[in-house]
Amino acid sequence: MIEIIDLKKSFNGQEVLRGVNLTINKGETTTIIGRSGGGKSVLLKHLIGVLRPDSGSIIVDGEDITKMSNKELVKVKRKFGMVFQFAALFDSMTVLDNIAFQMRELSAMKESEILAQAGEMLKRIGMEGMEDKYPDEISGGMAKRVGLARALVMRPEYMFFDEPTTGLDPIVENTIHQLMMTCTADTTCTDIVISHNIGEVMKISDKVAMLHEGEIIDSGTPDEIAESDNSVVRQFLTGSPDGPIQIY
Amino acid sequence: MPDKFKSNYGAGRVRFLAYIGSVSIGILREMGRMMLFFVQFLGTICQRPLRLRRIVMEMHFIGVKSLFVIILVGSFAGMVLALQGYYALRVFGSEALLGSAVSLGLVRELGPVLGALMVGARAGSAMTAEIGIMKISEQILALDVMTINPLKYLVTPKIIGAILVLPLLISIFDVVGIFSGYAVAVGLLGISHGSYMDAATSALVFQDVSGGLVKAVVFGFILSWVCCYKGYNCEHGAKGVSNATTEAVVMASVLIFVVDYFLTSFLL
Repeated sequence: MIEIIDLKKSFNGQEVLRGVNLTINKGETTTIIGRSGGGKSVLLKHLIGVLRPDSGSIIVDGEDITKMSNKELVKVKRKFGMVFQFAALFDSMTVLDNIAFQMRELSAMKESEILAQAGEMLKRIGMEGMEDKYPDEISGGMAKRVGLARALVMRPEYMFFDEPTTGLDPIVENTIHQLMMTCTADTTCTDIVISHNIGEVMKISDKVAMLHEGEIIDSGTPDEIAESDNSVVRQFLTGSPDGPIQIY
Repeated sequence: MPDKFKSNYGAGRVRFLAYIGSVSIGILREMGRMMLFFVQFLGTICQRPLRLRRIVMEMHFIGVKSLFVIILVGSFAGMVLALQGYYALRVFGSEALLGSAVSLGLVRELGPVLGALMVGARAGSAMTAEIGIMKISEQILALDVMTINPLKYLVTPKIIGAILVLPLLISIFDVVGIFSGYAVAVGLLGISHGSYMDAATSALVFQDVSGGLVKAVVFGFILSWVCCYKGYNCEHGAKGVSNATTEAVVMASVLIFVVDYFLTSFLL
């Protein structure tokens, strides 16, 4: 379980997180929604231990990662996997090497075992025969699938997805959802998703939390969020230009 | 002066002082960040795994792939030094010292400086661009999330590789330069073989060679440190990478000249 308690962060005097409170239950898929520039990515970077907050705590399985040394943090971060918005594959490596990378670097496995596991993972994402392709030779959807395989290969306890289906066509989008659900179901993983895609949010989430102006203003099951009384949440879900959120 | 202009003049002075202040703070901040980057690099040197394979790969990239340009520049540097030296020495009737002038000039000064500048332009700019692109495309963040220290994985092998390979490249530069000077002196200017080679070898003492190699090590460190730092801290997309690459090459080149002066005054 991850508990975020009164998390605050400012950059150059500008408050980005103004006291975020959220509980992410084990084995569930929790989605964080909110406007672009609302602090979602900053929150995610705190959760994965890349940024340190100005104040507040992030408790991962009973340990406060904000108070840890870098060495202690490494142990907790080994529980994490992440799928990036633009996949962030290593562009000088082939698809197979991308998937095998962590196993080669962090495990004592033999090369034959690594290749077998990476091959198995490629099969699961439907990309057999593409082992030797480089990231710039595959489509965006394929890159996302490779990114997912790369993250899952170390069997993380917590998976972070940063806008996993942005810019993909509906068929690839559904394929990614299926992969997310089947892969994480196999590994009893906890998913933390950041998304703008309301259809996706309602479909894959056990819990939805809306981050607005640096605070979680509402959270609950997808049905509860759909019925929310909060006018900001309602405007965000409907995408209406009229309401408390003003673009101009 | 009318009061109106006096007050504008005062405000202008304040603005000018504020500008000087902000530029100075910016420079100090950048220097602090660079030193912090250096300290972080030092901290990763002995961390396991040592990544010897990556160090060898970097040595191949910085060294073997720079060989052609080093040989090319080294040979022309030697030739031009022989040509210029000959006409300068002829005035004093000391053409026989041409070998000394070429060998000392190359081993003490031109070899380390020109060699480092060439490696900086070729491999240093590539280091900045590679790390910069990895930064803006979140590949460095991905390494961090995977608990693989990006500094240890990307930067340390490059700096160690450059420190190890620069003395070898500079030695090749010096040898090629001396023999190219020989070709011009003997083949074109009519200096005898014995006179050139005797002057070239007898003038050189161990301190000249060791001094040149010390410079090569220091310049290898400077160019890789600056180029990796600039790439690691680059922002704002393709333009950011382009700016970082330019800044890295310019800053590394200027630092090489500045440090060269102080090293020379210390080594002489």
